[in-house]
Amino acid sequence: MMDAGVGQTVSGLPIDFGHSETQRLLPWYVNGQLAGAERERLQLHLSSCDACRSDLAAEQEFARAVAAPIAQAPSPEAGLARLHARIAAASAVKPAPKVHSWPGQIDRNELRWAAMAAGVLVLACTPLLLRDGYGPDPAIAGAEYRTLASSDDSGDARTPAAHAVRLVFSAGLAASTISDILTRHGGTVVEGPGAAGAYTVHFDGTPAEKPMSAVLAGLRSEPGVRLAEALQPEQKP
Amino acid sequence: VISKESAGSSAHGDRPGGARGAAEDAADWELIRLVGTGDTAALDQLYRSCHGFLYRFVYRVTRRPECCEEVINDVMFTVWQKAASTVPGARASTWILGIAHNMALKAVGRMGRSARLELALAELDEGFTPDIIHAVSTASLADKALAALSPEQRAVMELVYHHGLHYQEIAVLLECPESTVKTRVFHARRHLRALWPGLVGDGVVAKDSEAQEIESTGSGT
Repeated sequence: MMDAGVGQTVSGLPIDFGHSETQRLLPWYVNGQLAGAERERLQLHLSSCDACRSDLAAEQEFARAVAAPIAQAPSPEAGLARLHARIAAASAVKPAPKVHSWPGQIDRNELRWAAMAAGVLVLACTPLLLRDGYGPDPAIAGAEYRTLASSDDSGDARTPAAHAVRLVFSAGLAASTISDILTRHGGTVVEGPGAAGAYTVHFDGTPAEKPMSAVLAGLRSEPGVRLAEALQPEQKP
Repeated sequence: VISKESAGSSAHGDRPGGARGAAEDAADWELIRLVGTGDTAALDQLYRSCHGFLYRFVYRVTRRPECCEEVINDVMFTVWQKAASTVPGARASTWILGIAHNMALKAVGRMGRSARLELALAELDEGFTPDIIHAVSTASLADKALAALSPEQRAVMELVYHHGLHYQEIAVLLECPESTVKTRVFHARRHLRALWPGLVGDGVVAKDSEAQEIESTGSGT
């Protein structure tokens, strides 16, 4: 692994590293990764240098402190559910970009950000949609959602269905605030806003992991949310 | 440690490196291969196995607990996307940490200058002073001391001291020369000298003219 011959005399005895190289390599001596000639040369220097030996002690203590537990990770399950929803959404959007409000093809890599940006654009375009009279009817959004979820793209059949919710925000709520609310609750806009200002939003998590009632309760606790209702009858609380 | 929360045969806890052997690494790569075929059960197992060490790593770099889950989501989504086209090279955990490193730094970048300043000020307000060293938990002191570093430096310190990686492995993970890794760690330790006495001792650096050379070599800090 290491350059075993470097720094050794023809007789095979190691050459002292000196302060600077010792200082550069001390962290890897402490973490046990130095081997071969590097390790020997560093040890040779330590054997004759009080200052570096003293540094070694401080380094060992620092290494132990850095390596100690720092933060208790939460349960991975909620994050895993969000990942599944994201994968399902990414798989669904690509073959079936039927949602005519989207301004163009969405990159799988940037799906979430693209979704937020699209939401902002859709808001900006709302007057245009209304004038032209082809704004989507939120009442049929549930059917569209089921179409997305039942797409036959790879991975879909195995991914759990997520919650579909009809969401109406307070009048005049900033697009960034809407984005923040959606991010906070793990929502992705599937459709909207329609003529009534309603969005169809896809929320992470299956009914088994998080009941629809909990999703709705969370949304209804947001001051900016005027209406949150389930779109799939069987999931209504 | 967090390992108790992990599930699956290849659970990593919060540290995937260390004494893990080739068999465990092969099992991890097999999981990644299955993820590449669209196997969501394999994805679940990999996610649960990596969540602990990813959470810790992302927290260490960003220092924002509220960012961690979002970054982990980005990391594992990337793993899902790249699994089919990735050829096993380094350790599987090192590959995933490399993705996490990029995503965590992007998250810091997204915070914006004002949020980063706010974070720095909040840490100053916590009243860190070197003379209270040893008075409270050295782990929390180390955590506070690391706050004085850049996110890039915190990442590399975590990779050395917590994950126990060789500088060659870190160079692969960061896609940079080995000398950059050594120099970045050296600069970080020098920066921490005031907060953690004895790291890169003053006497040693002052009396050794070679030290000046160290400052000017290597491309990264």
